[in-house]
Amino acid sequence: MPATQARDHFSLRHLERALDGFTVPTGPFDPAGAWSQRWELFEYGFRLNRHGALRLDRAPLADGARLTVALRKFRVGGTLRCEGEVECAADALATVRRWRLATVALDPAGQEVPGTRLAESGERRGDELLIRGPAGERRVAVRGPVTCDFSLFDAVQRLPAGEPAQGLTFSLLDRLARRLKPGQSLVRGEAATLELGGRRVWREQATPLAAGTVYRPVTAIEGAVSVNLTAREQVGPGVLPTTWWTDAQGRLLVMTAGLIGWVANPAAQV
Amino acid sequence: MPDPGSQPRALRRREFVASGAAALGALAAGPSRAPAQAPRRRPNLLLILCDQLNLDGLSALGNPHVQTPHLDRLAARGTLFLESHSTNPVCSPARSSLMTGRMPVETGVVQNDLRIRADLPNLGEWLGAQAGYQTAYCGKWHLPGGIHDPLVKGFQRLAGGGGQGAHDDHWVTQACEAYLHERAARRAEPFLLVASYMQPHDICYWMIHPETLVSDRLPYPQLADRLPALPPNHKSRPPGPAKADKAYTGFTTDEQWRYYLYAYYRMVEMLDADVGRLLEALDETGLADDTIVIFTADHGEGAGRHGNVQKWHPYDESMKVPFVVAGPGVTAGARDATHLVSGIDVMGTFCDYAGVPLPAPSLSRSVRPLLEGRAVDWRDHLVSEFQGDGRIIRTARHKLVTVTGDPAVQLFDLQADPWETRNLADQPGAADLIASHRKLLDAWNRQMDVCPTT
Repeated sequence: MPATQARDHFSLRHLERALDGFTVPTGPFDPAGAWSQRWELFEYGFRLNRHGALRLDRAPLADGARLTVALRKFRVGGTLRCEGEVECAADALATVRRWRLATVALDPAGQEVPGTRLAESGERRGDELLIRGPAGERRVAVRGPVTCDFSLFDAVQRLPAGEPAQGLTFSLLDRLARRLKPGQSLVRGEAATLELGGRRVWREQATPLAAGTVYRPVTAIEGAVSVNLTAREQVGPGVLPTTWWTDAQGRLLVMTAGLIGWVANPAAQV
Repeated sequence: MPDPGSQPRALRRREFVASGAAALGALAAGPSRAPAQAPRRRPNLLLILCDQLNLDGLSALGNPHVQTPHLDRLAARGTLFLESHSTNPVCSPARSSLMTGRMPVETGVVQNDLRIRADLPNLGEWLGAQAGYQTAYCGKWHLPGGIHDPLVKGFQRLAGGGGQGAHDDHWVTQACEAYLHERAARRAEPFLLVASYMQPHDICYWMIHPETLVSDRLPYPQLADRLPALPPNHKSRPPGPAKADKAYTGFTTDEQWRYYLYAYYRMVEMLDADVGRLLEALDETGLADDTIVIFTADHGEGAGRHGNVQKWHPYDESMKVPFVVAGPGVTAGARDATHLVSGIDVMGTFCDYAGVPLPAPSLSRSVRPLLEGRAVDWRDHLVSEFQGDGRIIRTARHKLVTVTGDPAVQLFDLQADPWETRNLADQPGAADLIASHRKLLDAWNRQMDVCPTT
């Protein structure tokens, strides 16, 4: 498979700068075991900017896993912090069993803003989600597998490379596990060898013409390594088409959806 | 979502309206359901504002390419105006009107990133000072400095939002939800809360970065049978003023246009999910019973009509936006296709519910009588602005588009030609219509307290 660059892939083009200096993970990785991973959130507005980070700690259970969630999103005027746990099954979609998440706003000095704390918990009970919030309980009817935005970060890493091409269908508990979006599908996308890591440098490119040679500056990546990646594509109501890129061992390196992207970065500040 | 196995079909604007035909007896034919009991005290006020949502973006109006169950539910609980018009199809000017009840030429915000004239109180300042409302704002402001600009008065600023919708809108919801729970615990003074969402405005970046966000081929082949059909006026370019004639030329294939529409409608659905959660919080806290909710947008979206994307244009896809009012005393399940409503009417309506006059005489009207099925003399024409010196004069049937210094005009018969494909300006008999509309525009202009800096 010929080596390609981020710009060669539609879902990665807008994140090209975010992948400059990317640290390619090495060493063994067991996606079904215990792990701790961090991703940095990028947003593509007029420019590409960092706007937060996510840390997930996975602890295997007898028949599933517990994900400990720590998320920060920041913006002029404050920071949103979300912390909690999601317990999910060991199935292909890491379907949710129960979860509890709390969010709070922090002011620019990092102090909690009074009156902004929200805590919500929930669990799957048969064909219902039972959700407990500040105003009490509510029940949401569901059918089929239900996974959430955090547990998908786990699921895509454990999917075998040979999962059915027709894909998986499910309902998504989106937006910090707060909005149910049925009708989602996840299918295997392209496989690619991507040049990752290294640093961006300017080079001179010579173009011989009849009247002489034209030299123009072009950018290139030095020191990159080739990484074999598999894409999985999620589409459905209420979400922009989303691409999850995992390496040969299953590590989730990049997730992109429209203007946003999550890029693996073990040094991301959460 | 449309059935993946079905062939996409073109939307006809008449279908959107006809889909609600039973309810479309509208207010002129009387309420479709007896209004609930009117509130006794000053009600709470909740303005849910979104960005770049055209009227046809609601599935309640028959659009098969989008599912907006929560917005549809809000519309079913209240009154949806089908002739609601932006004051100017650009963010900052339209928002200056929503916040002051004045036209952009009066606020001084005739283009993006200008400040509202200092002597005009905004909604928060006015209702806080005159009616004792606790006022809070969260999300997009889009006037210089954003909502956290110290020069913005009148609102408690809730942390949240301010970035792109996909990233930040849920934060707006959560901040507003926490605020509602806090208010519910107090139940003292009434509140005004503005929840200002960014979506579906994220679609703007498709045009800002076509080199990265637009693909030569369909980037997700599994969507091939789910792409929306192109609108029937996609290739229509009626002659007219130069400022009305700016088609987008960045797409080279129909598939690119259709993927753009697919992405746009997913953004609308993202908005719908957030609005749904906010409305659930309003219900859960018990505040819905004494809260008047207005949902609207600053402006619409080209959505491939007339070959356009984004806004700026004088066509209905840019100008017409949803305007839904729900709450105690509001006729439920009504669709008003008769009355011309404008962004300036948010101020008039909220002042009416708060029991205070407008800050100063203006053309802002309260829609409350329409919501309660009361007879009222209503405006028979409405003016919107576009691109500085462009003006659109709407009457019950016609629409005239003019630009100062440009001899070309556009005249549309919106009953016979709802997709605005035939400019009648050169047709026999048009001269009288153009003259009568110009006369209305002149009268409107004389009532403007034009900002000295514009």
